[in-house]
Amino acid sequence: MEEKTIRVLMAKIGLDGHDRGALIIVQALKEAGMEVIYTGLKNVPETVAEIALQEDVDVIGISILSGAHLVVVPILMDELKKSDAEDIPVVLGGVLHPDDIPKLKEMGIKEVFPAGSPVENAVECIKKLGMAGDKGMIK
Amino acid sequence: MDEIKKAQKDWEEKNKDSRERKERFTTLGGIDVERLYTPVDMEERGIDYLNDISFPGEYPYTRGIHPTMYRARTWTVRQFMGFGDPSKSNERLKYLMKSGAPGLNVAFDLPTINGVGSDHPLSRGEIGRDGVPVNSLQDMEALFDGIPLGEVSTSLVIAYPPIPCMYMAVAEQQGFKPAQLRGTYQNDSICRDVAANVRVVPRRAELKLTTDVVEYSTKHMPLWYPISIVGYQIREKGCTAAQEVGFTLADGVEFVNSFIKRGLDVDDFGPRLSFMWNAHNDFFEEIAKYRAARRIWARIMKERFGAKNPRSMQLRFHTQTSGVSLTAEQPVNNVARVAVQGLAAVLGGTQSLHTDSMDEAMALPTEESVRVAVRTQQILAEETGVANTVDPMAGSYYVESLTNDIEEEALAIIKKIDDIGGAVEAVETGYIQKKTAQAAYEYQLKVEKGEETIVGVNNYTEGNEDMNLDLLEIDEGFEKTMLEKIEDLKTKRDNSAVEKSLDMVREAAFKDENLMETTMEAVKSYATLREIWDVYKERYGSFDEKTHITGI
Amino acid sequence: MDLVEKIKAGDVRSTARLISMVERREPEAVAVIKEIYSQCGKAHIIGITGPPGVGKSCLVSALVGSFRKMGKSVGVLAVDPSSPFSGGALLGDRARMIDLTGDRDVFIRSLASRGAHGGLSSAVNDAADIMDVSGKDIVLIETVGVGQGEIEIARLAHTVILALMPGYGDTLQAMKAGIMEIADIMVVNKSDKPGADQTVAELSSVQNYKCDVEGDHWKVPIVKTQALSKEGVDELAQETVNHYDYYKQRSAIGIKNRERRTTQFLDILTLQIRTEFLETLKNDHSLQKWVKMIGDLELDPYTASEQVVEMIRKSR
Repeated sequence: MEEKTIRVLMAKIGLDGHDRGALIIVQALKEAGMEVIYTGLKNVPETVAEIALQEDVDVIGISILSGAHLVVVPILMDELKKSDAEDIPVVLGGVLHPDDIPKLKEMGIKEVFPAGSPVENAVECIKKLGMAGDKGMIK
Repeated sequence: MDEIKKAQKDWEEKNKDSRERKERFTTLGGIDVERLYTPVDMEERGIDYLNDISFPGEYPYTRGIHPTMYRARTWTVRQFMGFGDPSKSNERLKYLMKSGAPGLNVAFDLPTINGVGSDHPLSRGEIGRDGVPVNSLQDMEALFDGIPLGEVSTSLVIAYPPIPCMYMAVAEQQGFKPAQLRGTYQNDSICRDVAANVRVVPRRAELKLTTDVVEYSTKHMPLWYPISIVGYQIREKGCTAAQEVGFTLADGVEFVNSFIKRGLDVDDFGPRLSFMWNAHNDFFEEIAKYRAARRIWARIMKERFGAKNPRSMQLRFHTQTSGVSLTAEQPVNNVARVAVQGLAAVLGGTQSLHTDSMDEAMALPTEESVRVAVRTQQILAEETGVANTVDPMAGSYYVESLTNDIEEEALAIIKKIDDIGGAVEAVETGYIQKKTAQAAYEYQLKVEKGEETIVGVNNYTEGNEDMNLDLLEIDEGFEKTMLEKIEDLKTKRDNSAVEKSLDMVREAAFKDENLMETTMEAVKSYATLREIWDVYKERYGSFDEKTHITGI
Repeated sequence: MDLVEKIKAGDVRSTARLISMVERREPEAVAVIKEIYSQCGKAHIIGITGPPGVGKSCLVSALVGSFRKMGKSVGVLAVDPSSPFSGGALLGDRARMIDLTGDRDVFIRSLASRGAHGGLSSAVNDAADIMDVSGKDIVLIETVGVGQGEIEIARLAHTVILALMPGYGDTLQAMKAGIMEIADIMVVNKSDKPGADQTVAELSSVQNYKCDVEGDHWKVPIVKTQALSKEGVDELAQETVNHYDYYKQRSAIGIKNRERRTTQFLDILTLQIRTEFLETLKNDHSLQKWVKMIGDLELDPYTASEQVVEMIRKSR
């Protein structure tokens, strides 16, 4: 039996094409020893939930720079709930108004990283969330 | 000259121990800057006044494309705008015209640019957020309601046939013919691809669709600039000034090749090409950049493409001040940045200018902040006296030397891209993206080490808390309105006419014909943007390769 | 519902979790594999490999589309290398397969190779079996590169597709690696690039036939594709089906399965033996004893190994 390798889904949602931030995080997570599934650009939240399930990830990271977060996050959380997968922690990074942070947390986002946050913080947080999750057989 | 050289040597000897605050001075783009520039630097670079600088309105147009420049007419104030729903944008357009910004410049939102429209699942949360949504001719009618299109000059920030067709259809309803319309399509697919990852169909197909627009415009719209080749966004993504010139002119070469291959004569479309540059923080480097670009382009058009018409050789351009240079911290400081950047563009001989508003690092600009931006241009034009003579920077030993240095670096880049096989290939292989990312990374390192100061961010941060602005809030309710409008349209229009017109587009696409005429019919039947694009995608496929993740 | 039932009913999360657990070789998961093994054998397992950059992921995406048009449900296992330094991995293929999401009859799973300590091929095989039992008609296993590891994984398949592109000397590399011999179908992707016909000519001069079933040759087809525009992909899908039918019509699928399972069996057996005996050695500290003698040049490693094996044999 092997020790647990954390699997993370990094997702870009919507039409926003700015992927520099997402790619930097992907690279950092990989260097920290995690397995990262990157969705690439232009995904709908329903797709992200589906990929998270198929890939059995421990954490979902979302990067949004278009300002659509308050609209698409509830859809993603709903989808996860529908599949009994609301236990998968979701974190979010991107350009956002400080007032949106409490709103996102209320929607179920575990942690928010506004643009300019140090990369290590995100990596540490994802690692911690990933280690904490249950990996046993689905009952 | 020998006397000057000797005197300079003596002077250097005498002052060699004078202390300087840094060991090495460079431009923002990393070009070495000497303590002093003299006629010796000009001679070392072999700068010849008649050949390299010459007179305004004369080849190679280093000093400007018109003999009188701003003494005849100052640049056009052309403010970029678009948000909310079409009628909201219509109000803002009218406001801008009233406050003395006669050039219209319309940005479209991501769903429109990506050809998917408001009713696509990917568009949720992004409708009207950074541009105006246009789903069908109906929206274009609302956008330009009460604005006589035959009497204004409009820049449309979009590529490919559908939006130009909608614009012409509205003009036709108002009684204007395509030949009467003045304006620009900012439709550089290559730049958009590199800078913002916007790709709708595979790259070669994008080039084909762009060429369709240019071919049509060249034949039917003598007053229109059918393409704007854009350096602005690549620069925003982090490349240097010299790279901005190199990448963009190489991009221009790719388009010219494509138009010639289509059977157009270089002197038919050459006079109608236009460019768009960034205006960034390094004042002299920016001025030198515009001058170098003009000189290189004139020589490319004349020597490489054999243009005969002088107007084909003239690089005319629009400038926008740099969005990334603005800070969310102490936003009022942005007014000073924008003023200096705008001044560089003016001293570089721009034909039109957009000055960013101080709140644009955080949100779409409010009417108040847009007014300050417009007023900044009016102050430059009418109070400072910089528009009184042509190219006042010429003959500055520094500016002329720097112009040459940028030219040299840009030419090397153009050569490199030629060797790769052109700009599209250079994007496919990731060359331009890698160079840009590397330059951006190097700059970021300098900022983090404090070698580059950003006032209010890594220095002089006192007061950051107390300088907040009221930001524009977009009413989210209109997303629903946009969807309802599409639904409503689909019940009201003649759907069999739509089907018929889309069939015509499909047939033309599979025959590889120019799609402008059939798309025009589809637009007039009120086919939606998404319906038209879906037909294009049947022919070309959609752009599946989502991103370049190689190199990780 | 019990787990096996859930998997058979196509429950995504249970299936995905079981795959994670077989990746870690958890005893609980192995027990499930034992339970479902007899129900395997319905799916057509296809391996697709080739050098990096030939557009395999796009090709897989397009190929799945073609199979869907035939009404077949598809599972995809995309294997990517783990970093030898951090152990992390970027499993980027999803980016190119986005067209396929939203379709309940397509299940895509990325697997990282997780270092070279063996066991990958058994994990991939288990994952393929799980997908088979979950009702997928086709399981596509995608690997990158043409090295030994890829060849091993390719051997798990009924049908092996080798993907190349014009130029770049890939043909030569593939020949060197010996992967040409195991290819049942060859693809020249990006066939709009210059040199496509030349690559096809090179390939057809190298190899034409495989004699899998005695006295009856399978002619290795060479298919030109452009995965982005999906040109040639339907044809590729058809050839793949033809290859499976070739075995079925000759009632030879059993032979193929025995061949496939040998690799897996040996892989598991080796691992089992190694774990078992190394554990014994480690437990009674004799390993350290041997290592000390070898290190002090008192004994060479060959003689030491022979003595260890002799010792184990006697102890039975």
